[in-house]
Amino acid sequence: MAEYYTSTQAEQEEKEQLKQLVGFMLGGELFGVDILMVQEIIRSAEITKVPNAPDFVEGVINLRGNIIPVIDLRRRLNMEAAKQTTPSINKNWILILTIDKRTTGFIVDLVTEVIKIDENDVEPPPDIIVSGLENQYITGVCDTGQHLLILLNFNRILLMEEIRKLKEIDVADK
Amino acid sequence: MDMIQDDELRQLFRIESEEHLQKLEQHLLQLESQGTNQELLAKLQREAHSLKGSARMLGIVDIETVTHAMEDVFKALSNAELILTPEWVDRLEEGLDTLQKMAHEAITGTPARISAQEAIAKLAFEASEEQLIPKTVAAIPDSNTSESAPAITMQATETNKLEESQSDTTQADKTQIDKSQQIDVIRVEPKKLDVLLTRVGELTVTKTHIESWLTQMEGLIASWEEVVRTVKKTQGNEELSEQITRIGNTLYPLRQAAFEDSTALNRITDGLESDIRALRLLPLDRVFQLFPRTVRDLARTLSKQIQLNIQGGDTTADKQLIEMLKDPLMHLLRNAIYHGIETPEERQNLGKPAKGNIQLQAKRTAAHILIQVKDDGRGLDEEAIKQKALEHKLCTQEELSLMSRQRLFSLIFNQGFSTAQMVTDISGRGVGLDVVRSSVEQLKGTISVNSIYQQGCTFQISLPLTLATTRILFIRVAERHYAIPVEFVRMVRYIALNTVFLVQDRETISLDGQAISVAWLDDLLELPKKRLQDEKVEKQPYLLLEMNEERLGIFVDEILEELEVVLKPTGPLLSRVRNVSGITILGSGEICVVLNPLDLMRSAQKHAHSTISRTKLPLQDSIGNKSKPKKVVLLAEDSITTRTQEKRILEGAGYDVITAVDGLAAFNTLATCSVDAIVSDIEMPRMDGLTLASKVRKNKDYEHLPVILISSLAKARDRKRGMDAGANAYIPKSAFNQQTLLDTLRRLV
Repeated sequence: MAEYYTSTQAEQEEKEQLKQLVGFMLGGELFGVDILMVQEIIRSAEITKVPNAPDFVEGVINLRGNIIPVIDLRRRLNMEAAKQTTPSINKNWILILTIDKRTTGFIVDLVTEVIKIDENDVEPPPDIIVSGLENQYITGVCDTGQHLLILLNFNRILLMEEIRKLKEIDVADK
Repeated sequence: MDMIQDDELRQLFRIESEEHLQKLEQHLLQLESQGTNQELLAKLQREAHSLKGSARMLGIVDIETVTHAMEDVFKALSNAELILTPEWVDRLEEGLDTLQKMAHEAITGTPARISAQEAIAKLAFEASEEQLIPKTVAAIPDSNTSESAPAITMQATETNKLEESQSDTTQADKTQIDKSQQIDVIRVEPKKLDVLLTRVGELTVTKTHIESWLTQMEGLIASWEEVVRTVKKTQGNEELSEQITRIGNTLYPLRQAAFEDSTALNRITDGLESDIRALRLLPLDRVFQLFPRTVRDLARTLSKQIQLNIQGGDTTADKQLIEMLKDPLMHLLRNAIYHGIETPEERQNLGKPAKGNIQLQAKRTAAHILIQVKDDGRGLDEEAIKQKALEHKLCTQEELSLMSRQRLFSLIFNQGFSTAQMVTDISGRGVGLDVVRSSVEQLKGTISVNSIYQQGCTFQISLPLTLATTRILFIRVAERHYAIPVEFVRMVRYIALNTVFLVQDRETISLDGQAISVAWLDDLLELPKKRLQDEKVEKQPYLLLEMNEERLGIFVDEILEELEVVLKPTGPLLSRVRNVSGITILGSGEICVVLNPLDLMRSAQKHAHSTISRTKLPLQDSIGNKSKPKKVVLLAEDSITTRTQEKRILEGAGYDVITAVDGLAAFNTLATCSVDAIVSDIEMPRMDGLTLASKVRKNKDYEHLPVILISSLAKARDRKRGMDAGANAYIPKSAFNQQTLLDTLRRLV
């Protein structure tokens, strides 16, 4: 009995360090974003293009009377473009996140499930670059057993300075 | 002295002190022009007294003592213990300045570094014999002071009059106190009114939406009537027929009710909207009253004699408009004083009165507020403008000869023209009119100028009455919907495409005998081309945009309707997108991008080079565009953020950019790379921008290389230094924006 008791206590402790993430796929990789940042997940909203906007801005959507910009996360992260062979491009998932009190939509390939991870299992980003993704946007990685889960730093993805710097790096690479 | 700690008290004191200080200033200026006037002195005393009271209550000792000293001076003036001389007016003005700085410190916490003792010492007076001149002797001001200062008339007040007005004052004081016991005014933060107005704006949009239900209901009833007729013809099911009739019994009253309610809603919304708008209205005097002092001070420093006449200060306008009008108006006035009005000697030689006249006039028409700044100074020199325009390649000799006077004058609002004024000031207008124009444009207004050489110059600003909602034309192009604000749409017409002709490779149409450039909206927006060209199309709709004498026809696929919309906030990500002025949600829930007519006109100018008769050679256009070599810009700037930002702007405009971290690096780069222009900061380590510019100029190879300096130093002297060093243009950071840089660059390269 005593043994049982201690094990539940340990479980309890472990639970306190559990983090809930919304998992999503992008370019064959599994990513995770803190569930507390996710306002909602929508499918096939009508995206209105904004002419002459930055290229990673896919457009804007009407979310209950508010205008929300939608970012093509692939393009923002400089990952290879989605294969155009899939005609169901409109059937993409849009993750609506609240970042710094601002609501922004991000297009991803597929939203999978809620993933629970132990914060202790999160490791600093590896030096290798996943799918051409600069690791400045990665908070950490976590081995879930089946997949390597990548945790993204959305605050940084939206920082205007970052967006500007991105351009700079692009040019420097050329 | 410290900042007032309590938030609420600080807010209250801010509002209150501003009001008192403004009134003090206003009355003091009146006092200066009218001379000793008991009524004014009483008012001044009262204002000083109230300010003193609230300062004491909040324990701001410095303000208390200085106002006290001022109050004493006013008292002495009204008791004739002291005589109003220009010198005293100056001292009081100085005291007022001190108070303003102290109040600022109390509100913001920024140390004013001002000694109250010093201010009080300046306001101290002794009832010396000299000043105790008997009232019967007319006081003649010292001839030295009267020359340098605008004349101050002295009124010898009669004793009876004086007593009379004094007793009046005490009575007025009493009623003032009684009144102050009851609250008859509630102060509301303007921000709260803004929120209200936005809400009402949305209500208006919803109202329009509800109105459209009526039409739908009419349709429903029509189809119901159809059903009734069919059922009656078949004469079959009686029960069904009865049921259908019953539906009709509810349908008609429903339509009636909807109609009545919609009308009522319409009335209420409109009323509410105009009421709230009225709440936000303030008299233009709120800004106008800042000007007499500026004009007076400036005229005095320049030894000019200037009379400022203000008319129509009671014209009301939206608070936001008033706030944003201050700077452009101030700029126009300063220009008039600096460059318009001549010195008294010059004026007399020209047979004009020595005293120059500036008129600031406001009036309201049905849809606009008109503001005029008129001076009787030098006026604009047409020849000088022409010469400048040629020098700076703004237009060709041929274009100039065809230009109307009005059009010629409007050139001075050009960015290029303003920078052209750096060295000399021949045309009698200073720099920065482009800034004035862009501020006015931000308010969705227009500005124009007219002038007669040697007789004066008139600027006229025309502004819309409100900024909260925008009237738009809803249009369709390339299977998408867009909105264009109606302010700049002069007219909407149809034209047969086969009448479009080419003038210098630009598509042009003829309208009432005038040639007007045209562009396709989908080209300007860089949309994928879906349009099928058919030269036989008889009726291609186009909008004629007009702004400051510039006209552009824009072809669209279809013009749908005119609507009133509220622009929605879009967040920083989309805060400044070319050709876009905002985004709105229509009654149907559809998102609609509202285009920016000013940007469209600029885009059209850029496009002019690349669109070579697309109707005939649709393919060559894009090829020709790509094969054109990009111009190379060398960018020297030591701050990484600024460098990145500028680089991005330049690249966005299609330039290739080479960056350098300072002047020396830039200069070394020149040897290895061929560049078309240099854009440089001034303050940089190792080698600054001025040295860079002069080194570039001294080298034979780069003699003609355009150099643009960008700097936080905005004074005329700094510009001069930049010019002396050999720069072609000088853009102060304060006035820096994307468009300024790109326009300047395009002009030079």
